[in-house]
Amino acid sequence: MGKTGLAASICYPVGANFKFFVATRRPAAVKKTKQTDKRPGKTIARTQRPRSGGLATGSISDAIPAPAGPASDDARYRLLFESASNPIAVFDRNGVFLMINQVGALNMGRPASEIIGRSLGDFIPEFFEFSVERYRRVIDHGESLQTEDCVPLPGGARWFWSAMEPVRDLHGKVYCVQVISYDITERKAAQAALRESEEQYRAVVEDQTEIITRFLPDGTLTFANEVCCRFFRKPAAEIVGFKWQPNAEPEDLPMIEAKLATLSPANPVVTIENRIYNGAGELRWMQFVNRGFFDESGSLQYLQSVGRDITERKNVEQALRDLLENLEQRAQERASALEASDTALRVNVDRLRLVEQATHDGIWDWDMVAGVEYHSTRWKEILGFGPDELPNVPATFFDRLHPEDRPEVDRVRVAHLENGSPYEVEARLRHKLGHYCWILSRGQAVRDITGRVVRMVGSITDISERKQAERRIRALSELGRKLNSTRSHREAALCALDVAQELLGWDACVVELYAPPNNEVVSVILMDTVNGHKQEFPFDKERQQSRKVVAVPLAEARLVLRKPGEAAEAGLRTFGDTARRSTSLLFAPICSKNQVIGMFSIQSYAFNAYNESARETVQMLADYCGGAFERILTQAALADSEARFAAFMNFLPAAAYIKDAEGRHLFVNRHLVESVGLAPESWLGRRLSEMIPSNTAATAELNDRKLLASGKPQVYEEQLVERGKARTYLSSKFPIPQADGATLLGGVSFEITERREAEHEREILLAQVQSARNRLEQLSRRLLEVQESERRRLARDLHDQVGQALTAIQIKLQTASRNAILKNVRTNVVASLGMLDELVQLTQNISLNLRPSILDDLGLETALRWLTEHQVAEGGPRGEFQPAPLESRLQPEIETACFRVAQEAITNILRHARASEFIVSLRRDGELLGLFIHDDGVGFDPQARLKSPERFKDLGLLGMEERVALVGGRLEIESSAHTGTTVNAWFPVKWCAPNDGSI
Amino acid sequence: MVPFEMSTTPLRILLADDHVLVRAGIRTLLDQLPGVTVVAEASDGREALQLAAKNQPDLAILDVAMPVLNGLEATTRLRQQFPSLRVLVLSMHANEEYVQQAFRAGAAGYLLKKSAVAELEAAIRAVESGKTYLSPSLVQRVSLKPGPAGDQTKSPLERLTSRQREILQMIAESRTTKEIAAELGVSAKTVEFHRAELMKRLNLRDIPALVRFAMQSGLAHPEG
Repeated sequence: MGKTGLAASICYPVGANFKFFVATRRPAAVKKTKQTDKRPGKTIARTQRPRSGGLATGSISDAIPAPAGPASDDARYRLLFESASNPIAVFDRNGVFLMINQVGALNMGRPASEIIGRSLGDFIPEFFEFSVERYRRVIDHGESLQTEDCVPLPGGARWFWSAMEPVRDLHGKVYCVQVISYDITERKAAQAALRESEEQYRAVVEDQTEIITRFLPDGTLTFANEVCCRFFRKPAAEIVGFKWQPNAEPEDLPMIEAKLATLSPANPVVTIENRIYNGAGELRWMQFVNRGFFDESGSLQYLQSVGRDITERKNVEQALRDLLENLEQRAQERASALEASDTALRVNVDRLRLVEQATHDGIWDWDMVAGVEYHSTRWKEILGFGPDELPNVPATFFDRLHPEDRPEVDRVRVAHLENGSPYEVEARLRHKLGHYCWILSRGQAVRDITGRVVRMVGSITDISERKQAERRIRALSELGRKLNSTRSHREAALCALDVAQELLGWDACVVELYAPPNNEVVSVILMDTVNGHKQEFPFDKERQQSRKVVAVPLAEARLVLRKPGEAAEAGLRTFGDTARRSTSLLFAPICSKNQVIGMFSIQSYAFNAYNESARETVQMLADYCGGAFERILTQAALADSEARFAAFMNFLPAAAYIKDAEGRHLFVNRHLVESVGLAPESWLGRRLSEMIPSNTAATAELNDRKLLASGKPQVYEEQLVERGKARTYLSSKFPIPQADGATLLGGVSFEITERREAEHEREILLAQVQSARNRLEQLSRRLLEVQESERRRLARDLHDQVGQALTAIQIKLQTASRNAILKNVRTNVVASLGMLDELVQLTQNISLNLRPSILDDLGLETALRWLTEHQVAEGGPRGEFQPAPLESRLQPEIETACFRVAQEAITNILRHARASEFIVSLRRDGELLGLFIHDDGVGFDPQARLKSPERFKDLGLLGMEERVALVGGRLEIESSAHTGTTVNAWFPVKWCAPNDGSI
Repeated sequence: MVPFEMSTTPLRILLADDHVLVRAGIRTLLDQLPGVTVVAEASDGREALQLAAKNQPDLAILDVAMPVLNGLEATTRLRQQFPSLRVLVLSMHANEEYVQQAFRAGAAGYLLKKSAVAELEAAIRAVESGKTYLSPSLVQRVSLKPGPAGDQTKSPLERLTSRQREILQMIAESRTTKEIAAELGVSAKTVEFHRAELMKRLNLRDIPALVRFAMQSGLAHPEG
C-alpha cells in the first residue's frame, strides 16, 4: 500500500459530505508507467474500469430518509436500502444476516433470500469472528464504528470501508447493527499509487539536483538557480556575471563548444554531457540540456541550461563499460581456453583410446556434474559384460564394488580430490558371473575454471591374476612354513591340499607315493566329496592293484589318462562318491632329487575348472610336498639316529657327558643323572664342582682343562667324593672339536669303585697268598734243608760213628788176628772180620745213599760222575757223564739240588725207562748251569705223571720240581716214545765262598 | 815181610783222624812199627796243618773225612807248604774218585782203613822211599782217566768226551744217525742227544757247521 502517512492526510469524514477523490480501480494488475516528464506534482496513473461500486456523492442522511411513519418510512428505507449502490447489511449480534441489499447479495454471490437468516460465517468464515466481535461492540455499547477491512469475498478479496451503526428499536434498545460498506479497493490502490507518486515527487523535489542556468552565448551567466548556487557553493552574486567555462573540465571544452555551436532554430536543444568542477573542487559529470533562444533572425540570444549531476550514472556507466570490457576479455580468454581444452580433451580422448587398446585396461570417465559415467568396452569386458550391457552411470561402478572395499575407495577418492594425492586403489568388482575380481583403479580429477571438480577420468586394470599370484605366493610361503613342522607324509599332504583348496578348489584328491624298493604304490591320501563333505578313503591294498611304477627321471615322467567311456584297468577301483565323477583333473609329479617319487592330484566336478595357472600352482604344491617328504624322511632318519643315540646314551651303564671349555655341562646321560641323584635340568650349564662340591670335583675339572689344553684323548682313573662316599671312575675323555672352532670335552666314566675295592681286596689276598706261598717256600726249603741235614747228619753219624767204630774194631781184630795163636781163634776172628767188612760196606752204602759224602767232599762234578758210572746195576743201562768246566765249588744247596735231581732222574730211568743207555751232561750256559739227563727209553708223559692220582705216592717228580724251584732254577722234562726222555734243569751259578773254614 | 832196617833217625809221622778210636788203633799199629815215631796227632785238618808246621814231620797220615778241613784239602795245603812232606791218605772210601782226588791233591799213597792193619807198613815203606802206594784192592777200580774237563786251557775238542768226539767224527763223515747208532751200539735217540749236545757245547748252529768244525779240528777228512 506504500506509505500511509500521506494518505492519512486525506480523510473521509463520516456522516459529512465527502467526495471520493480518486476513482476506484481494480486492486490487481495496476501498471505503472515510466515518468518521462520531469515536471513535479502530477502523478498520472492509468485507470481501469471499476469493478463494483461507483461514486457515491452526498450524505447518507440525504440518501436515507429519516423513518417517519412505519410503513412509508420503512418502505422508503427499504427503497433506499435496496437501491443503494453500496452493500448494506444488517446483522444481529451473532452475525446473522437480518437484512442485505442487492449489491450486498451480489457481492456475496447469492440471492438475498439465501443469505438472510444465515450467518456471516457461512459465507466468509475467516472474517466472521472478527466481524461478530465488532457487531457486538456496536450492539452492546451502542457506539458507531468505522473500519477498513479487506474482506475475502467469494469473488475475490476487496477492501471495504464500513460504517457500522446501531439500530434501535422502538424502545431505544439496540437490537441490530447496520453495516454500510464502501468498496475502497480501487481507492486503496489509488492511494497506494498516489503515495508512490508522491514519494517519487518528493524524491524529485527533495532531491532536486537540477541546476538551471541561463547564459549568453559567450558563456556569461545571467541566471543561476538555488541548486546551482549549492552546487558551486557560491552565492548567486558570485556566479551571475561570470563565465561558466572555467568551471568545466578543460578537456571537455572543445566538445562543449562544438556541440553548442550546432544550436539552431530548427534544432534548439542539445544535450551535452561534460565534466564540471563543483564547489568542493570535485570533478563531476553533468548532463546539460541546453535550449537556445533565438531572435527573429535566428541568431542566438541566450541559452537556458538545465543540468543534473550524472556522475554516479557516469561512474556506473564506466564501471559497466569496464566490466563489459573485462567480461569480453574474459570471455575471450575463456573461449580460447575452452578451445584449447577442447583440443586437449580430444587429444586425451584419442590417447585414452590408444592407451586402452595398448594396456588392455578399461577406461572410465565420470562426469560428476552430469552424473554420468562412461565405461569403455574393455572395462565392461573385464567384468564379463558386453559393450552395451551396462548403464553409463556411476552406480555401475559403485554398485558392483565389494562392500569391504568401498570405504577405502571413498577414502582414496576424497583424499585425491582434497589434497591431490594420487587416486590409486585396489578393489573388487562383481563379475557378471557373480564372483568378484580384483581391479586396480587409477584416475585423475578434472577441474573447471573455478577449481571445482567436474570430472574424474581413469582406468581399471584387471589384477585378478596378480592378486591370484599374490595369494598363491602368500599361501605357498605359509605352506612352506607349515610344512616345516609336519612330521608325517600325510600331514604334509594335507597341508598342501588345504592350500590347493584355498587357491583352486577341489572336490576329490589323490596323493600317492612310490615306495622302495620296487616302487609299490602307497597311498598317502585319498579324498572325495560325499554329500557335500570331504571324506577320506582308506587305501585298500588288497582290492586296489598295486601298480609297479618305475621311478623315472623327471624328464621322462609321463601321465596316462583314461578316455571317457574307457574301462578302468583290471583290479583298479574307483573310490569315494562313484555317482559323481571328476571332470577336471590336475596331476603333478612329486619329485625328490630329480626322481619322481609320487603323484599329487586334485579333481573337480566342474568343467574347465583349472587353467594353466592352476596347473602351475599344483606343480608348485607337488614340489613343496616333495621337499617336505624329503625332509620328513631325513628327519625320520635323523630322529631314528637321534633315538638310537638317545637309547644308546641312556642305556649305557656308565656316565656319559659333554662339557664346554669352561666345564659347564651341555649333555648328561641318564646313568650320570641317576647315579648322582640330581635332576637332569640342574646339570645343564653347571660345572661339576657346582653340582658336587668337593676337592675331588675340583681336581677332576683341573684334569679336564689340562686335557683340553693338550688336545689328546686320555684314559685315567679319577675319584669323586660325593655325599661322603668316595667313588672311583675309569674315565675316557676326549676333546670334541667343533665347526666354529670351539672345543668341547666328551667323556665316558665307568664306575670301578667296587672293582677297585675288589682288586684291592684281591691284592691283599694275593699278598696274603704270596706271603703264604713264601712261607710255604720257606717251609719247603726248610724241609728240604732239614731233610738234607738230617740225612747228612745221619750219614755222617753212620759213617763217622758207626763206620769208624766198626773200622776200629776191624783194626783191633786184625791186630788180634795177627797175634792170635790159636787157630780156632783166628778162624773166628777172620770170620768176624768178614762180617765186619760186610757191615762196614753196608754202613757205607746206607750212608752213601743217604747223603753221598762224595758230594760234600769232592764236589758236584765228581759226585755226578760217580753217580753216573757207579750206581748202575748189572744188566742195566750204561751211563755216560759229560762234564762242564766249573772254576770252583758251587754253593752247597745248588750242588745238592743238582745232585738230587740227577739221582732221582737216574732212579726213574732204572725203574721205568727200559733204556739201554743214558747220558748225564753238565753244561755252562752263561749264568746258568745246565744239567741234562737223557735216556733212550720209552718215555712218559710228565704232565700226566704230575697230575695223576699216583703223584703223591711217588714224590720223585714233585720233589725234583720243588728242589729246582727252591734254588731258583728251572726244570723242563721232554719225553716221548720217539725221542726218549730228557730232563733239563737249569741252576743259577752261585759260587761257594772261597773259604770253607780253612786258614 | 821185609824186615825193617833201622835208619839213623826214625820216620817222624803226623797222624790226623777225627775218629778217636780209629786214630788210637792206627797209633797202636804205628807204635809197633820200628823206625817210626808219631810226633803229632790231630783230629781235624786245621790242627793237622798247625801241628805239621810245628813238628815238621816227614810223613802225614791223613783221614779224608775230617771236619773243619777235610783230608784232601789238607793234603793239598801240606804239600804246598811242606813240599818234602809226604802224605799218605787214609780213607774208608773205596771210590776211585776219592783216590784220584787224593793223588791229584799230591798224596803219595791211598790206603783203605779196612786194610790198614795189613798194609800200613808197606804203605809207609813205599811212601818213605818215594814211591806211591795204592791199596791193591783199589788198583782195579781206579783207572787213570784223563783229567776232568774242568781244565779251561784245553781246546773245545779236548773238552769233549771221547764218545762225543767219536760221534762228531762220524757225523762229519756223513754217517746217518741210524748208522752211527748201529756202529756204537747205542740207540738213535742217544745219538741225537749227543749231536744236540755237541752243537750246544761247541756253539754251532747246524750240522754243516758241525762238519766244518770237525774238518778244521782234523777230526775228519774231506771225502772225495
